[in-house]
Amino acid sequence: MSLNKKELSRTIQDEIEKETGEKATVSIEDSVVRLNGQFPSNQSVVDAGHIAAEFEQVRGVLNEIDYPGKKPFVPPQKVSDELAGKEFDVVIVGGGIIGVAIARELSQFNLSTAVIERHDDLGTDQTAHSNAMIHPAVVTKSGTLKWEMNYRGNPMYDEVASQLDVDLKRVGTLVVAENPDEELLFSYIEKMSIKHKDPAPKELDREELDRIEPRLAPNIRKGLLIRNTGIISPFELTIAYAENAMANGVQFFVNTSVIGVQTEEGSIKAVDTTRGTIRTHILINAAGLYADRIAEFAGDRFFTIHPRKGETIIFDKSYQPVRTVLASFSMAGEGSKYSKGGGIIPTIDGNLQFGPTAEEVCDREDVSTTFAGLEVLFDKFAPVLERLKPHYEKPDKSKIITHFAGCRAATYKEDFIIEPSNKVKGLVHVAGIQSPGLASAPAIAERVREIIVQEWHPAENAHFEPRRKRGKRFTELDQKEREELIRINPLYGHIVCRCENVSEGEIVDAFHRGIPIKSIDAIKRRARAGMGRCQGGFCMPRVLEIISGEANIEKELVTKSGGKSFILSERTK
Amino acid sequence: MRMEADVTVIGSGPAGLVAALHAYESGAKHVLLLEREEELGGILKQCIHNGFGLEQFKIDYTGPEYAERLIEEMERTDVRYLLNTMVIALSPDRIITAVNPDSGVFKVKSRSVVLAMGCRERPRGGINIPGTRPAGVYTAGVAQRFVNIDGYLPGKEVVVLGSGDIGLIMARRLTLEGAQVKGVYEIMNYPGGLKRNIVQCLNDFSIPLYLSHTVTEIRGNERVEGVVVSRVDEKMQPIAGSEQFIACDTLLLSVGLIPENELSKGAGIKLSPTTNGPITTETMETAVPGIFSCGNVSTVFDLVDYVAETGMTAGRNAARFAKASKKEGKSIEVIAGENVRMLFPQRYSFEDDLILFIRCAKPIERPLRIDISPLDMHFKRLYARPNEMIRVKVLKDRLKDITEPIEVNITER
Repeated sequence: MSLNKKELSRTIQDEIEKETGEKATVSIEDSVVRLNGQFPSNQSVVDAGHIAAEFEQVRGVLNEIDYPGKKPFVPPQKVSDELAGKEFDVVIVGGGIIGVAIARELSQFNLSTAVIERHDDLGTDQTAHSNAMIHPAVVTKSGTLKWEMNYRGNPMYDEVASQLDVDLKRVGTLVVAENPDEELLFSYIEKMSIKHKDPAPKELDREELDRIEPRLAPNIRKGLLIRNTGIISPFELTIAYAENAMANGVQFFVNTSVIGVQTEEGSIKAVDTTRGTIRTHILINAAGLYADRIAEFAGDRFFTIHPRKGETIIFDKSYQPVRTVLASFSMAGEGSKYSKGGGIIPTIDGNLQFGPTAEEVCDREDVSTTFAGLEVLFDKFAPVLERLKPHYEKPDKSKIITHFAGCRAATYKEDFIIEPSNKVKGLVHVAGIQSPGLASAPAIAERVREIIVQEWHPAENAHFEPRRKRGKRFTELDQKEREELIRINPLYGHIVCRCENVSEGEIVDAFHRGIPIKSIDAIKRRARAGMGRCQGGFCMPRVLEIISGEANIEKELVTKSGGKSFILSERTK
Repeated sequence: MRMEADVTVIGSGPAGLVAALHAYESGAKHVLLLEREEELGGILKQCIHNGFGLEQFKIDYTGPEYAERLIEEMERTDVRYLLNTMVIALSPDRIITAVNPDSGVFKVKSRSVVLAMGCRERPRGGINIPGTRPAGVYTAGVAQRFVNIDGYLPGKEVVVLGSGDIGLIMARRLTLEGAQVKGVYEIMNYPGGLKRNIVQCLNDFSIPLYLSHTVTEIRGNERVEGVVVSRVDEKMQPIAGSEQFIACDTLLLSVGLIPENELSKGAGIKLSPTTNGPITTETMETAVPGIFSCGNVSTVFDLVDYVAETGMTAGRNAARFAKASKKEGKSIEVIAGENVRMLFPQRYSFEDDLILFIRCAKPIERPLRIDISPLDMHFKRLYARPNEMIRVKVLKDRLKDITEPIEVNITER
């Protein structure tokens, strides 16, 4: 179906009216649809955007429809000029997993590269709120760029994890059949795997199931293991990528937001930030939830980001009912059209997680958790887990140690955008990255490298070192290694976080790995202090003291997560 | 490094200090006390309010004074202690693995072991309060440490959720330091802390206590900007329409204490689902022979005097075990009956008098009796409240011929 511009805008308008009962103004330019109007709710606006994006010839949707509760974009205020005069070949906007993976990839070349990040630390938006899974490509819609990046990215993780010294477990997704009829459905998944170029899943009989996922319900006779599903710590991965990029010459500027982009004769010239203007000729827009704002600043906006919130709950480590990402056929179809609907997932650190949910929200900064979200997750996953593992302790809300939320940076096309701008030379969009963004990150970085190489032919960095070594961890060492380490550095013999057995040595080490850190959460993400069942109740005052000493700042200035999130109010004596 | 000891006590709060002291006084030669912090005393160090040792010493001490008295007594003995020492594992055959900066990782082979690790506070995640995750949400004990040890005020406008004793004490403490405490909100229809703390910490400072209320949302992006509180119904579910926003920069949580039993679990010690501590006999011995437990790791007590009492018993019996590994004696169950929510200890082994600690299931504001069956024995009380533990003592002589389980029932008179 190919329609001319007029027909297309008419059709889109009609479809929107049919679905939502509201009339939108539709205009089209360069295959980009712009929607205007006044709608009653955010959901109806999102629906309108999705309807317009359904048409194949639509490249992007700019959704400007107003609705009650819409948050106007307030650009951040300039705070200083300390970065003024700096110049780089490449500036990457956004220090999430995508930004840092690209930074490390580009550090293979003789390019001066900087990453700017609005928060006080890297990987704090979508990255930190993802479900920490390396998805198999079989779950991603075939024919999309998402699928291609997922399919390429997933197998790359073996090398990435090994080079960056990050834990990765290929736990697999285990789909179990609860009755003989469901066993017949395995062939459907097998066919999908072929279509998605995923490695063939493995059919398991009961004996094999008992080895991989013990104590399943007696009625389960067969299962299908999608072997390439991995779990990883997204924080650790982000920090590892960044540390390696830094070792290879990339510079990182945190607490820095973009407030403008300067172009000259259609080419990128500089980026204005809250801490001054940085000159550059290549600007990589990996700004996640604000990628459309960056595109707008550069004069090439053809998509709108609509935040889709996901809530996740994490259980205490004493409750470890699953070893694999466990799925039943009853869970299929539970997800919405645009989300896989979360799962029953073990984390690399041994906690069970349920989630994430998927809910369109008005505010990109909405990281609030809700009663409803908790109920949705519990009602959806607890009965399945109870049924599949009836002999295991039942999931219990009292075992939840934390509940968090974050927004996915979805576009209306619901696909990744990884391409050089067709309007502004030097601008590369890496936008609309949402699930499976983590699984795709290495492939996305590779794709960006290809774009840069093709356009600018940079020389290779002869000194590139792909390997990064992580710090020692008390819990991972055997008795002899522990003794040796403590003899050299007694701080490793002082346990600060008693839930996760994190030593002072590990916390201090985090300060000496390049990326400057000053907040409790930055330590939590690096050393796991405060990540356990007491959620920092015991160690937080001690970590605060270590930060104050190592970063050489007054205790009152130590924050939870940057900005004005000060832990203490004032001195009393 | 490998060490040996007759009795090893893990934790040097009130329970551990008393246990170490009494193990020594009961004849154990090599008593070793392990403490993970850089000073002895556990949580007593930050409890600068009074009310410690009233029954034990007949003196109204503050927490640090009380700890000091115990430490002085202990210093006069040959009890050895190691600071900055974290126990990371305990095996059923009483081999302790510990670590500290001076000795690295080392093992202690001990004839008997006393668990005195105390308890930790239930965090926000444990009660699932929705909302954002800004700075300014602290457990009452963390705030207490900030104010009393570090000398910092954690916030200026404070809402307290939960009326546990530490929360009540911190409401007063923060008020004295110049913060405004806007109210204490308690989900139950009765307070969690002791009556004397309600009077001395809230009433005397005109801090309102709202029963049957809870916090249903936390707001604020960087720092807490306020909380939404709601009334709850009989099933403790928030009542729609009762929401009220309260501006504040700090939310203190005093929503329960959890005995810290990760080590106990590792040693294969069976825990009670009601106390969340090891199931013990009146000698404080757990189900694993030679491992004893006392104080708040066994069950959360109201008073340090009770904690100390269990510490004495545990110390004395650990010394006895160290001298002559006791043969498996018989023991019978002690069962929580009608109106009893919590009962400690859970077994009786015919060695000592039976000192029972009881919490009733619901407030009874009328005269009542506590029956100990199958003995024809009862104790009278004028009222009973879940927030005030009842202590009763049954002499060994009365129990010697019993063969069936002991049951404790509370009935109105």
